[in-house]
Formats: sequence, structure tokens, C-alpha cells
Amino acid sequence: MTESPASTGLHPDPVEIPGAVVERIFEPTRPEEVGRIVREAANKGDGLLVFGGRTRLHQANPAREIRFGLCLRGLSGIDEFEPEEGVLHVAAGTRIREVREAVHAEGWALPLDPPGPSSTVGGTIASAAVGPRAQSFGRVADAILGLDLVGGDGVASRCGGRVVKNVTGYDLAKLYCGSFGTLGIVTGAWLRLHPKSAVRRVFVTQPGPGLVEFDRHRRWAGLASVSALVWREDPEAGSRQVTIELAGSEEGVRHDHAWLSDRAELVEVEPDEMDRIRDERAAKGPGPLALRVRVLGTECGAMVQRLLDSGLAVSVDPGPGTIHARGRLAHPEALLAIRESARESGGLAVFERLPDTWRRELDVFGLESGHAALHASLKARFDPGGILNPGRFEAGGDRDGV
Amino acid sequence: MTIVASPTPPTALIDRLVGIVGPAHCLFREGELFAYECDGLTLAPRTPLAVVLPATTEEVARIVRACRDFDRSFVPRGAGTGLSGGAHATEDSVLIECSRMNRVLEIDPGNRLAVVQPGVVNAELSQAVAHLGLFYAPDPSSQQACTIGGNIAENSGGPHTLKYGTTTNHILALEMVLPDGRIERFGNRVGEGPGFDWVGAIVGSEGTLGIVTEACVRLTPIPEGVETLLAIFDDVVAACRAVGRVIRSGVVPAAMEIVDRRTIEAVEASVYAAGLPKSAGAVLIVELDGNPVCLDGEIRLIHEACRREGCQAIERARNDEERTRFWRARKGAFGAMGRLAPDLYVHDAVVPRVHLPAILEKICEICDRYRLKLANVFHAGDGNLHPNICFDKRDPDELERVMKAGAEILEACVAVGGVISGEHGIGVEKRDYMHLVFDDSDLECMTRLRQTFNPDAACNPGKMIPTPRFCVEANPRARGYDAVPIG
Repeated sequence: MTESPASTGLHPDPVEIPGAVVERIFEPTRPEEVGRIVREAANKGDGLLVFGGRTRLHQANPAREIRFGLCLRGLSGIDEFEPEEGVLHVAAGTRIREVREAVHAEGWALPLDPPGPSSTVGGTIASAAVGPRAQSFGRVADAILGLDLVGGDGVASRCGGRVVKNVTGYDLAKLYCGSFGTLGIVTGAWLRLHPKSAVRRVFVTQPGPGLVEFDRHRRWAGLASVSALVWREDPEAGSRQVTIELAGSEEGVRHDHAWLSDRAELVEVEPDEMDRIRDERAAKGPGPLALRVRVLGTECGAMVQRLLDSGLAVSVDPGPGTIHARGRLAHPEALLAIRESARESGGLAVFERLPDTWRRELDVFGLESGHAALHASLKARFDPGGILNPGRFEAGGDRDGV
Repeated sequence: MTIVASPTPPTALIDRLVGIVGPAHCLFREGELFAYECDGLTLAPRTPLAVVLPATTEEVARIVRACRDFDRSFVPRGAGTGLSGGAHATEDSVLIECSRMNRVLEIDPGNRLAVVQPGVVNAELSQAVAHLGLFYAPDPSSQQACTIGGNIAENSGGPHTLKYGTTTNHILALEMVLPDGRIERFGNRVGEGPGFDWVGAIVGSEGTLGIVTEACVRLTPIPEGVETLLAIFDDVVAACRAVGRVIRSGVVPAAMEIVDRRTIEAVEASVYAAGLPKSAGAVLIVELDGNPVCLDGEIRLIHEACRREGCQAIERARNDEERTRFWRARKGAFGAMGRLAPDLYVHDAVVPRVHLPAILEKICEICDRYRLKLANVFHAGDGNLHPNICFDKRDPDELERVMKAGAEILEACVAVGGVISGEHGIGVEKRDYMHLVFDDSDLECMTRLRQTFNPDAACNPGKMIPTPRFCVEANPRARGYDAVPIG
């Protein structure tokens, strides 16, 4: 294995993931080093755990045969930023926060909003993690113009480009995004930016209980200036609150604020309140369970009620129909029933945190058995040695994906 | 140019296809196939072995299995409006034409989605949901004829992709017949299936991964307010610079389109005449939509950007009639260009928008050097150029100059960080130019995806990815076995 400062001994900050503790960690600082490390690992059949800011390491199936860690934090920095064009090229290990600040200074907004202050660009792409602003920012894949990668064979490649419209070849970035680093290692990305809003104001309001009240607030998420709307409820604490972020032009925000004020008692809070709520979702607890459920908008209220009735606390983005639930359930079967119900409502359920004993029984992602052959075939072609995050994005034989 | 005649079709295969779709929907006799020898790329016509028009997903699957049993390749086709030859068949392949699968199966206004068959015409979907205050946002120029299935294959765009994105942003789930005849469903109604984003990979795959037989699409609320502006410039370069200023201003118009002098002349001399002044060197059409209270402020910023680049005048549409007149200059352009020459080669490339002024000058220089008539009408807000070369394909010398100029235009666009297609796709037209953008390892990754679905390339062979021979030669001018002939 290639010499690297961190490879010669045990890493001072080992990585603990479901299924393994990784103490030998490589920290390349250039994409070519990533290629060399992966080639050597492939030659020896050594499994690699690829990670960035460690924010979502727990959000995957148990690892299998991982020998080394490959930390991409050393690939850092904005290589090219074109304020005239609203695009930039950034190294994968760069923290989202750094990019956000850099582009804000030039009048742009980074349309990536993953939970967790340590989130990196590469980790956000690998996990396709979105935050409460997904309703205005869109999916992670929507922000990607092009990617630089290292494949499971250690060979560097590119897909996409740097322009804002492109159908030159397959849209491989869509496949890499959300594949948890199992098809290739993202080393850099061209991203498109959104214009920065002239005004951003955040308000809270206290809604009443029940489905009718939920649906009333859900519809507010469709207002043009609402960049995020979060409904939070904790049955144990007896708390319920809606937080609304308005962003855009002065006229637009003023108009929607007036409209909302006619319908609810709004209290203005700090403009970074939505960031706090977003990052809260990456933190541990309360309880050993965290799941993310997506359902159709019209089904969202019923699903929220079901989760509340199970005793879970929820943080809901009613616009895209995303529910983050936390707490404790008595049996893994209860989780599977929630997943089945989400599927019937047109969506999915991802078990983002699980007690270790449940992990062996449950597939975190609910991967569809009908696509297992395609999934395995694609993985084998992109990572023939099976060394990239082995086990973490596949449903094992002993797990039940429903 | 030679049109290769279809060989005598194998009776047993035809019998089986007729047995699946009925005699009225299986075409194989000489004369029946003429309309299917090419799509919107008319430069390399080839007559397929047969054309079948299935009505159901099950029929598509049975057709695919029949083709496999007889060792024949097959090519999916929508309305045949594609401009890169993505639906070109070969003489020994079966064309599977999806126009009979044209039903809107479900509309869910509460969740703003619809489930449609692939043969639904793009504009008709928007018409079908208009009474609900919704529309289907991707609006390719051929939207009165092109189908959702073809749009999915090509990841079609249109003038309003600047704000609303391309087809990929509006497809939630798909049903597809795989190249081995199995029927699979991908994605779900929330647009986020567990596992790999198969839907994202299939959209824009030009029918090389399978045949889409059903799609769940996202619908968009019709904006409350719309404003359309027409800015008149002395020349196209100034109009491009104004586009750059608009982008920097933070306004995201729904559309920003430029029409150049030659196109204006053609439009004004045609039935599409929009009443544009003869002095206009270029016009910039800007459409803004959204909350009406925001639009006045955005209009002020557009005015400012255009004035700073010396525009002659800016008109604001006062009603729908005027809006239609403004758009006539853009939408009637291709029809009007028919007056300039018998044939039109519609190119498609994208550059970073900051390079638009320089690349436009370069394209003009290339076409002048090859003594070709050039007209430009393009999606300036996306940096998506459509240099239209007017020519007569019966003149072999002119045709050769068209092809050479086209290659130089693509090279010039790539040299400034651009790509060789923004919305028309690669197909057979640009397959051998893929090396301008991607190296062998990039193309190898694309091949891996294709092989996952379509290992023997029986489904839509010869499209998008150059053959390995050309990978080795890395010669952008090298042309494949079914490439566009020169002369």
C-alpha cells in the first residue's frame, strides 16, 4: 500500500461504523493519490471505507471486509469559481460551509443543504443528503454539472461537464449521486449555484393538533417565497411548532409575509434558525432510532400521525413530503411496517440510525429485490474487486428489505 | 446519397410480429417503410426491416423477445422529431414505434403528477392538465408533435429549461421493457427510489438501455404572472453580453432566447412575421414568470442589463397577443428558414455563458470561411447554441463544407469548456465526436452502464458511444459504419 503519513500507524481518530472499526486511514491530498491507493487496494482485494466529514457514516448497512479507511478531507478547496457564470469546481473534501460562505460573498447561494456542520461536498453527493431547503434547492443531483471520479479499478474518469445544460452522453452523475461511494469515489465536482436571496427572514408559529391543521400548513410550503417550512412535533414533550423561512426579493418576501400574517401568529426568530433545525437532524438522539420517510404530499399528514402515535418525535418538511422521525420503538417489525406503509404511499423509508442488534435484521435502505441483479451487475462493472465501501449499500442475505 | 433498400424480411419473424400487434400495425412492405427511414436528422436515411406499432407494454415485451429469438436488433422511436438520429434503424433491425401508446393514464392534481404512456404528445399533456392550473414544463420546440417517450430518451429541453430544467427534472418513475424482454419499474411517485437512481440514468440514455413504456411525470403550477420582453440590439454579440449581465443580476428568467439578423430576415419575410424592425441585428426575448409582485423589480433589472449593452429598444408585451407575436420570431424561425435553402443542419452545442459573445463571432468566422449561410436562434440563457446552416444536400461540395464547418464549430465550443449537445442528443450524428469531450476512461464508464442493461447492444445499436476502434484512434473525424455520410 502506498506510503502516507496516516498509513504507517493507527490513526489517532479511528472510524467506527456499523460492522467495523477502521484504524488505518489514508488521507490523500491529490486525486492522483486516490487513484494509486485504490489501485493498490484493488490489487490486494482490500476493502476501503471512503468518507469525508464523517457525518453520515452511520447511515448505511454493516460494512463487510473493510481493511482501510480513505479520508477525502485532504482534497480541499475551490479550484475554480466563475461568479459571472454562477458555477464552481470544488474538491470533494471541502466543507459545505466553506463553499457556502465563499459563494455568498459573490452574490450566489450553494443549493446544497445537508444536515451536519461538518458535511463535505463529496459526502453530500455520495449520500444525496438534502435539508429543509430541498423544496427550493431541489435534489443534490440537480446541483451537479459534472464529476471527477476514481473508479473501483483506480482509474480516474469524468462525467458531465461545467455547463448548465448538457446531454452529451449518459447522465452518470445521477448514478454516482446517492450511491454511497460504491460505484466510484468522487474527487471533485462542478456545481451550479443559485442567485442569493436579497432577503431572508424566519418565523415560527404554533399550530393546532391534527391532520386538518397539518394540511393547512403543508399548503403554505407552496408559496413562492417559502424556501423551507418545517413542522416539528414531539409527543413526549408535548411540543409542536412550525418554522417558516422566507427568502427572495424584498417585494416577494413582504407579500408572502403579509399573506401568512393574516392566517397565523408569526414570531420572527434569528435568520439562521433553519440551519439550526437542519443540523439538529444530524445529531444523535433522542432515542436510538432515526428514520427518514418520504411519502406523497397528500399522504404526509397521515404518516406523520402514525409516527407520532408510535411515540416518535418528528421534524417534517411537508413541501417535499419528507419526515425525519426519532425515538424508540419496541420491535424492528414496527419499522418494517412503517416502510411498507411508506411504499404504499408512493415513497420510501430509510433507517438512518438503528440499534446495532437491529442492523443485522434490517436493510437500512429498503433496496428493492426486483433490481438486485441490475444493482449487482452495475456494481461489478464499476467496482470489479468489490472494494469500495463493501456491504454498505447492498441488502445482505440475512436482512429483510420487506 | 444512397438509400439502402431493406432486404427481404424473414417471413417467420414478420409472422410473429403480426401475431403480436395485428396486420394493421406491422409494416414491412416496400413503400410502407419510407416514412421511417430517418428521424429529424435526414442525412443518413436507412430503411428498417419492419416497423411495429404496439399498443401495450406487454406487446412491446413480446416484440423484444421475438426480435431476440430471431437475433435482430430493435430501435425504439417516438414521433421521430429527434435531430441526432437517435431513432435511426439499420436495415436488419425492427423499429418499435410507440405512438399508439398515447393515453394519459392518471392525473393526480393533489400531488402534481401524471402517469402517461410514452406516445403522449408533449403539448397535449399540458393541455390535458391546464384546467387544473398545471402544465408539463419541458417544452421542446417540437412540442406539438414530439412525445414524452422521445423526450425521456433524449432528456429534451426547450426555451424554458433555464428556470424549469430539462426532462430529467420532471420524471419521477418509469416502466421499461429491458433489452431481454423483461418488464421493470424504476423510481417511485416521490421521485426518490431506494438504491441507485436508475430513473436519472435512463432519462437521456437515447433508448439504449431499454424501451420506456410508462412514465410518472411531475406537473408544475401555471405561474400566476408572466411578463415577456423583446429587446432589440444592433448585433448578436451585444445581445449575448446582455444575457451575461442578466445572469449576474440574480434574476432567473423562465427563458432568454436570441434570434440573429439572418433569422429575423427570414422570419419577417415569412408567414411568421413578428413586425421586427429591419435595423435589428439581433433580438433578445426574455420571459419572466412567478409572483406578479416580484416581476416589476425583475423587469427593471432586465432593462438595466440591456441598456448597458446598448440595446435599441425594449418592448414589454401588453397582452397575450403581443406575447405570441414576440415568440413568433423565435418559434417560427425553423419554419421560416426553409425559405433560405432546401436543407437545414440544426447544430446543438453548449458553452459557458460568459463565452457566448466570442463563440458567436468564431462560428460566424467558420461559416464565412466555408462559404455557408448561417442563422442563429438559440437558448442564450443556458449557453445552448443552435447554429443553423442552410444548404442544399444535393450539392456534394456544399454538403462536405457543412460537415467540416460543423466539426469545427463543435471543436471551438469544447475548447472553451463547452459540450457537443445541450438537448438534441448524440445519436449517430455526434457519436464520433464524443472524444472531443471525453477520454477513453470516461467512455468506458458509459459503456459499463450500457452493458449492465444492454450487454449485446441489441437495443438501439450504434448510438451515443463510439466503437472501441475509434477510442483507439481518438479521431473526431473518423466515422463509423452507420455514420452520417459525407457526400
